Amino acid sequence: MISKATTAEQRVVVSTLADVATVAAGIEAPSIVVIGEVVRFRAALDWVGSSAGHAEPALD
Amino acid sequence: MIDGALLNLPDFETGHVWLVGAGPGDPGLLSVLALHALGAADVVVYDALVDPRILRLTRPSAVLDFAGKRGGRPSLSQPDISARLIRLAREGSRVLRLKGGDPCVFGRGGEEALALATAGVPFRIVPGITAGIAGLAYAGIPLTHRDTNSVVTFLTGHDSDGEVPGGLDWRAIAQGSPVLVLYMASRHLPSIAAQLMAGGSR
Repeated sequence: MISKATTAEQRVVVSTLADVATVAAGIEAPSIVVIGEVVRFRAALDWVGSSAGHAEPALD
Repeated sequence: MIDGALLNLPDFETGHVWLVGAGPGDPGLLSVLALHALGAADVVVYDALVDPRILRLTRPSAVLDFAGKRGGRPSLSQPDISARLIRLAREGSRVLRLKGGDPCVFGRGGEEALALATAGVPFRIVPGITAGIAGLAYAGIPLTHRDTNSVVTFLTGHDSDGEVPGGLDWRAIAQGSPVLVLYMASRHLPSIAAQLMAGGSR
C-alpha cells in the first residue's frame, strides 16, 4: 500500500493479502494498493527510502 | 519560461476548457502542457488532491475555484461542476479544469468531457501521470517486469456510491492478472483481499 504517493509524506507498507486488514487500518488516504510479485522488487529498488536513509525491511 | 513555439504548444483559447491532470502529487511531475495551461488560464476549477504549490503557478489575475470535497462533503455535485465549466467557457474564459492524477483514470474526466461535447464547448484533454503508475515508481516497484507479468489490471475500490463495484469476477481477476493496482481501495481492502484469496490469489 502506498499512501500519499510521490509527496514528501509518502508512506509504503508491505503485507501479505492475509494480513492486509491489520495494515490497512493505519494507512492514510489517498492511497493505492499494488498486489503481485512485482512488489518484491521494492527490496532492491526503493530509491526514495535509500535517498532518505531509511530503507524499509523487505517482505519475508 | 517555456518556449511554446519551440515545442509547438497550442494556444489556450478563450472559451475553451482544458481538462488537465495535475499528476500524482510531486509538482515536478506536472507536464509541460499542464504548466503552459496554468500560466494562461483565466479560471482554474480544481480538486482537493491538487497540491497548493501548483496553484501558485497561475497568473496573479486567475480565479481559483475549489470544486472538491471538504471535510468529506462534496461542495459541488458532478453535474454542477460540468455546468460551471460550460458557463465559464461561454462567458469567454480560458477554463482550466485541474484534477489530481490523470483526468480520465478513475477521475470522472470522461463525464465532464461528455458534458462539454454535448454543450458544444471546445475542450482539450491533457493527461497527467496517474498515481497507479507514478506511485509504484516512487515505491521502487516496477509496474511490469519480464520475469513476473505481461498483464496489469487497474481497479477502483469505489463505485459512485462508495461501494466496491458490483459485477466484478474476482476469481477471473485473481487468476487472470498477476499484478493489480487498486485505487481508492483502503476502506474496502479487507473484503477485496478476501475475495481475491477466495479466487486463488496468494
